[in-house]
Amino acid sequence: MSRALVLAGHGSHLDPASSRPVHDHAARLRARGAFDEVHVAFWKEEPALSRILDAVDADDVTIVPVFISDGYFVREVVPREAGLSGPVSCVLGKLVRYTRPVGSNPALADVIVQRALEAGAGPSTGIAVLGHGTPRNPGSERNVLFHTELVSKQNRFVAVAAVFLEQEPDMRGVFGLLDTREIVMVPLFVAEGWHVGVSIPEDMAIDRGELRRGGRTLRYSAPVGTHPLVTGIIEELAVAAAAWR
Amino acid sequence: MNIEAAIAARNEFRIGEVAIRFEGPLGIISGPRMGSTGPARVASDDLRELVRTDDHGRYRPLPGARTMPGGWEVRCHSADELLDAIDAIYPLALRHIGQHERGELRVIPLDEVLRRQSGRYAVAASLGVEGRKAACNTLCGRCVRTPVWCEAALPPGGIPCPEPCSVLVSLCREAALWDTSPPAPSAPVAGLPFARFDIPGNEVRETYLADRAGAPLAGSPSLNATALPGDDALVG
Ligand code: SF4
Repeated sequence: MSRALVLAGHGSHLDPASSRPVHDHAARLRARGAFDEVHVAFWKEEPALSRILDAVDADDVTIVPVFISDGYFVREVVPREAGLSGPVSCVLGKLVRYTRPVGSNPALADVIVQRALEAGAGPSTGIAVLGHGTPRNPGSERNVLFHTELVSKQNRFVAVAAVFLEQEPDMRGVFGLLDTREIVMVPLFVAEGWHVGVSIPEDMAIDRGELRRGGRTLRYSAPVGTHPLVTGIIEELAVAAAAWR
Repeated sequence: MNIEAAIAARNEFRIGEVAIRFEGPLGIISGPRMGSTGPARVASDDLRELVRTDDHGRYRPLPGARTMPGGWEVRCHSADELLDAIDAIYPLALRHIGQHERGELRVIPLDEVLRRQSGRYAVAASLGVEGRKAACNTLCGRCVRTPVWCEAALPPGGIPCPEPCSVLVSLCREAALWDTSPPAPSAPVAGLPFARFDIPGNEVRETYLADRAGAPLAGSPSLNATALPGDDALVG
């Protein structure tokens, strides 16, 4: 029986960079060849989640949500648009498995560490894991706190803290939260989109990836979701789902 | 038009705003507005990024929008590469053409799509029939696909659209908010983001508002008469 993998992403009507990492991960997964077909589907771009099975020839389909938060989109929007009824569904005559989001996988903590190291972090550096967060959905912070704790437990950095774009602790208070001379802020976001590329650097007055304050330095890393290691996490989630019945 | 048969027979054809021709072993896709200086050669792997923005660098969230950048061509070395390249330009179009030809296209009407929305898009379902008609007229009139979901007749060589897209849902959301107190139409401003329907001057917004006010903007595209949706198709 042939198997298809679908990477489900948010997409955007305003930001062309939003879906790029999903396409990039899909291209790598096609080259790896573990699945007969690899597709992408989006809520706000084409191909649409609601039509993605039109593209699939295989009868066995695994959908991996490429989202950080295990919140509204993963639990409500993607299943509704793709016609899913749970982790295993029968949709248009196909067996469709729906995995947990990329952001729930513990291996993502290693990607945060990689991003921090790439930005020059050493043992005495404080790491700020930056999540979106929203007061409208208390669950949206869960994966950010989960990975902050996992990175902290690795004992590679003197201090690790979570900060947020839209909830407390606010990212702008990062110098008060971490007392190290050097801080690396790692955006736990899927894409180098509007938030990571524009609104956060503007709000924080980060200039060319760096912010200096009173002899202290904050460096701003690339987002976690664009890292090639995330491709392996997607594959791992999909391969594990193959055992579900 | 059976596209796979056309490719096998190496017959030239058009799809949306692009043309396909064959030269020796190559299948060549060319974009619109080929100038006298000759086209820019683009690798098929770079095509998806190329068609993400229009000639002015503006993001195209609606792949079917008649704003395809011009002056390029892609040389494909196999039928599979050619099919993948067309899919990068118009996602799922070839699938939907084939399913339509075989009578297998799953068609979902606007009412069903609006009713399933939640969160900030839930309000879209409250848009009335006239608003739905104007939204479809305004947006689908700018798109190379034919909205068969509103019972529009597919012209020969057309691309059927089986289900209202997310950009149309987004327009219906704004339009539902305008229904209670319509903003005054203002002059379209070139270069505003295509899907920022909340900004005065957005071309789609202003065309919609002028349509609702009974004074369509001069020169704005609209659906042809055969494609206009009937009320039943819009409310289910
Ligand atoms: S709903 Fe209208 S605008 Fe959207 S893809 Fe279909 S035909 Fe084009």
